[in-house]
Amino acid sequence: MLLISCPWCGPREEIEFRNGGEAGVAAPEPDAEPTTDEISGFLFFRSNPKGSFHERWNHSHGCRRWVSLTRSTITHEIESESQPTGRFRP
Amino acid sequence: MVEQRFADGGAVSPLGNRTFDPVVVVAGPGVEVLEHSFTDQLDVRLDPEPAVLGALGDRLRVAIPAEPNRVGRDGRRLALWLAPDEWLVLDPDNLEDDVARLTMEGGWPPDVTFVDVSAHRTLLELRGRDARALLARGCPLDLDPRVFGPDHCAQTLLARVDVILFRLDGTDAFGVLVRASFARYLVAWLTDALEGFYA
Amino acid sequence: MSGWRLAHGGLIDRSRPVFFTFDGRRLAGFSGDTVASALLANGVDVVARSIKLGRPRGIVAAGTEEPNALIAVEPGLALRRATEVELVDGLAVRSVSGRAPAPAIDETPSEHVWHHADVVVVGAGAAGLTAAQDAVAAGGRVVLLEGGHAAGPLPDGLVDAADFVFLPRTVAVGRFDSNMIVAHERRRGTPGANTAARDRLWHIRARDVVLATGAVERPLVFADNDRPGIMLAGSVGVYLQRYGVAAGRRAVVFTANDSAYVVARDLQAAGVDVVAIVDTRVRPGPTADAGGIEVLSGHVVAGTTGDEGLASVLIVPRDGDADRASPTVVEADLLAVSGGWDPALRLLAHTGARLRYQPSAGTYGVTEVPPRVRITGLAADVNGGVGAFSTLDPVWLVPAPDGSLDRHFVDLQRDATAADIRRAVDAGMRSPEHVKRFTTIGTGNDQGRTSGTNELGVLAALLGTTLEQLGPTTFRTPLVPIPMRVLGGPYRGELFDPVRTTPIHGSHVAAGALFENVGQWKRAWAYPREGESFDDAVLRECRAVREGVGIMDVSTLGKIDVQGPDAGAFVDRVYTNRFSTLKVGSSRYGLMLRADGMVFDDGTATRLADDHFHLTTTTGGAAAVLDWLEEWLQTEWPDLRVRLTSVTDEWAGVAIAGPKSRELLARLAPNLDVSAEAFPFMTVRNEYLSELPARIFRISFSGELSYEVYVKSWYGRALWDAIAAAGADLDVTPYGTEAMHVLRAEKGYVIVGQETDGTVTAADLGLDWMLSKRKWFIGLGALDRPHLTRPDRRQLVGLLPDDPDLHVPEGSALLPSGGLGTAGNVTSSYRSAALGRTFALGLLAGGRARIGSRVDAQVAGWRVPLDIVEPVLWDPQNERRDG
Repeated sequence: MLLISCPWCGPREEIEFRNGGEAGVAAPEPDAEPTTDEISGFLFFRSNPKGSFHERWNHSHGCRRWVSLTRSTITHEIESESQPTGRFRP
Repeated sequence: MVEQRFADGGAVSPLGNRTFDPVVVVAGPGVEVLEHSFTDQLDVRLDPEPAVLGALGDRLRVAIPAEPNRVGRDGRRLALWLAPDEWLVLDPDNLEDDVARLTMEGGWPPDVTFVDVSAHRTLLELRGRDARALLARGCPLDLDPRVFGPDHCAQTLLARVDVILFRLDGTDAFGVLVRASFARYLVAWLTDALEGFYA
Repeated sequence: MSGWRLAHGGLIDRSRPVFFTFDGRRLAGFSGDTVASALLANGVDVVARSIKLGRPRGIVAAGTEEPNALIAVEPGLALRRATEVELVDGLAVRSVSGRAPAPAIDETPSEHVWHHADVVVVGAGAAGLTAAQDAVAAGGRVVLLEGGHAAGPLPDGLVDAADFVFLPRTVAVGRFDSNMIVAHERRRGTPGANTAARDRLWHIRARDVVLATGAVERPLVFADNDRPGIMLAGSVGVYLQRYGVAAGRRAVVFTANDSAYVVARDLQAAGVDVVAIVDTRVRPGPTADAGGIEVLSGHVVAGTTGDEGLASVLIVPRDGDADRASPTVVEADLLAVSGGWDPALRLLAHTGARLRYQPSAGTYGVTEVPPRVRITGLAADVNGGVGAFSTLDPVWLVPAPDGSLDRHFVDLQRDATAADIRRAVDAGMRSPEHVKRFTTIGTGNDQGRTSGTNELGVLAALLGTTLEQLGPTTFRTPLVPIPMRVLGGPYRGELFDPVRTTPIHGSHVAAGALFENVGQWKRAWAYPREGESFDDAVLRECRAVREGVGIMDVSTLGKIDVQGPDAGAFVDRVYTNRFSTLKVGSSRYGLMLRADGMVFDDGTATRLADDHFHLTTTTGGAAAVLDWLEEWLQTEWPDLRVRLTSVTDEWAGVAIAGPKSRELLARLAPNLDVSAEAFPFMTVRNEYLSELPARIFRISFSGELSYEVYVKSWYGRALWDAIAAAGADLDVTPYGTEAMHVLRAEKGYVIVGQETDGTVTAADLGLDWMLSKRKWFIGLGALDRPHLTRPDRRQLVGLLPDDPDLHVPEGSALLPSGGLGTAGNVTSSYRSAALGRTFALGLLAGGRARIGSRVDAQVAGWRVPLDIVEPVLWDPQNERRDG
């Protein structure tokens, strides 16, 4: 039951969010022709650190914006400010 | 938006009401839940440029709040912040004339969009001294007036249902916008919660 | 018969006697008593028989740590601890020996409450009250939780405090991330309580948490340490001070620290004959004031005797084997023991804090607390080894004269002994987690509050190691058992999960529809008439669509409004086929893939303007599709100027399907040219039905001539009723989702989620023609993976049983004809009115190439031979869709 700070809506309960896995994993660009290794890297390979993890959350029951933050996978402590994703900044 | 009436029968709200007047759908000693049927609603999307927000507010005759989770108000007309590029303008009286003008006159940047969502959600009002405590039975938000003030709004969960929540008139009354298909469930939940509340 | 009520003292109200029954015996107590204190006051020493060995057991403790005195409360037989049940007139309780009786199901729902506070104080003892007063004085919202009932009136400053909430009978059962305290407020299960009152599960988000949770005393482990009359010393003191009850008449105190001395003196002062204080330590600590009572320092209690209750204790020097043969025997009916104390800090462990053995305090505690948490009072003193709590010389196991361990009880509730721990060690176990599970120590209803540390102490002694080397076992929520119904809260029965209904729902109910759940929606499944079976109703509804006209509520389809200058480009990227070339006013069937190339959803996209599309999704997939599209837009393509808005609930829709649908539509929209030329397949018209604006799509999911009419959802019911009225003489027939499923399966149309399960590609479904070769789309890059191009992938085929009446259940395994191994499974299976027989669709390994051959289905243990055919069984040339 994390308390996640949405850059737009402030601290909200975890039940308002959906976890989006590791942050910073870019999808192949449209019209790019990725190799099998590249595509499987994007689809299947993620870091799974013990400790600080940069991850994405979607404020799905709130403003529906995607945010990213760093969380300790040991203590669940959120270690960073939430960063907005997309075109807009608060 | 609501002027048209189908040949026989006409409009029915998600809770089965056929009148513009607010109808009490469930009540207890310290709280009343009403449906404001057929409240006109317009979903507005645009990049939050102050100039465009201002111009839009002028034409819609209600301030479009730039600050997240805030409400602009002019009489019964409200503009609710939903997302950095999304607002919901609602008016229990009539929005249609302004909207028609809005879209006809044009002159907006090409990615400004308007979607009529009047029937997508219905507006409930929870009023009375126990309204806040009743909401706390199913809403994780801190609704203390010192935290959630008269000009606040929020998208959140109530009884596991997506809702838009705001204060009506700066009193102890709350507005709850719920999607039409969930409205009956939410009222059933409120009815049950009220039963427990006064047990 | 050893306990008795003092003439004076205690916080009970002696002016208010209370009568209750225990196993049918009528007993008296006072207002303010618990069942446990009243039983002690009445001299009841045996309250239970132990679960495995049937040994007599008495009350040991005064709080939630009580292991023995479980009782079943009438009516309903809810299992409670006698130490927690407040005495009220008419209370009837039963002792629990062995297994508890199954309690009656409490049908009264529970409530969930969300709450927000600046400070939550857990525990309303002296330290908790002080902490609450301080927090209130500092300003801010304060909550005080007390697991038991109030010991007395709240102090000044709290009674009328505005932002203060006191919750008695409320146990904090968990502490979660960022100081989320979850607490169970017990408002049921006690006679006299409002029978309609609901238990509450509080979710309290706190800025700061103060743990004034106290401490739990540990018993000592010696032979026959489980007899009634052997109690925790501190609890003996509680019964004395709070309830005015002396637990015996002739007492021995057995301790390994100074804290029990005060109890010995208080007992003596109350008129109890305290024979001796047996102190394991040669030199008692500085706070050990015996007040004239004889102290046998450096001695231990090595055993006890008694029939039902305690009769005598056997005292020997701690060291000196020679004297073991002739112990000093002291007659006593009360043995107050103190093996040390454990701070009640399990709430800290819920979020990952590790408790470690602190040698200076002789207990598992913490040296650091998490941010925004404070420990105060007894919990802090015990944790830090302050005062009397610094004087412990732990004795984990007192050897018996005969060397046996099988009556050295460690966990009274589980009837587990030091011998059980030895057996675990002999079996090779070293980890406390393994020993816990082998011995079951700590797994009872009391969660090992009085046994956990002793288990580790005995284990360390047997292993010849130290407690620093042995971590405590994991403490999980809930701290004390709470009923499942409380966790469920109001979400049960009809409220279990949100239910969505369409604006036309009432018409379906009125028509006697059966409903099925599709996602959260209730959809009309079929409309059986009086005396008609479900199967017959479906056949009739299918026939109506194939031969006449049927109507269906399609309001549940997900609908997404897509607008913006880049709308065309966006839609091209998210569907496999091309949409940017679609003409305004036209629709196209589209397929969406996940990034891994698997089929994700299907639906139609209609171009309403150059920069404006209307997308439909599957009923169950609507929310996921909108989230998915929004994710790509926000996180991958922020440069695209596109806005997505859900309009699912804005529009109500009715499908009009069948050869007579054109005639019916013409009646509804007399000004619309409904001819096939003027209103061709896969186009849309905006038209007024009377004065009501409607969007009419010519679209088909049955293969027949068909339309979908959408209006603002306020008018959905009116639309449905108007269509039904206009088509009465055409025998217009409402059809449900089952008929829709049959009709589409006859045409070989797949349903995402029925023919697919997240491992199925477009090619597997025979839909590779929908994969554009001239543009990029989500999932394209993954389609070349070797596994996805294997010829033996499971592919969609039609299946016809030899017996045209045999219905092969969906999910049946497909096996090679006469061979072994699973080759696929049946995904859809129906009786068809149009085909006059049963048929099925299935996914079969290398299925496309096997069309024309045979396969077996496994049905109830039998092999059923099937013909493998093309999946499109009805109108393969699409000759019917224009009517």
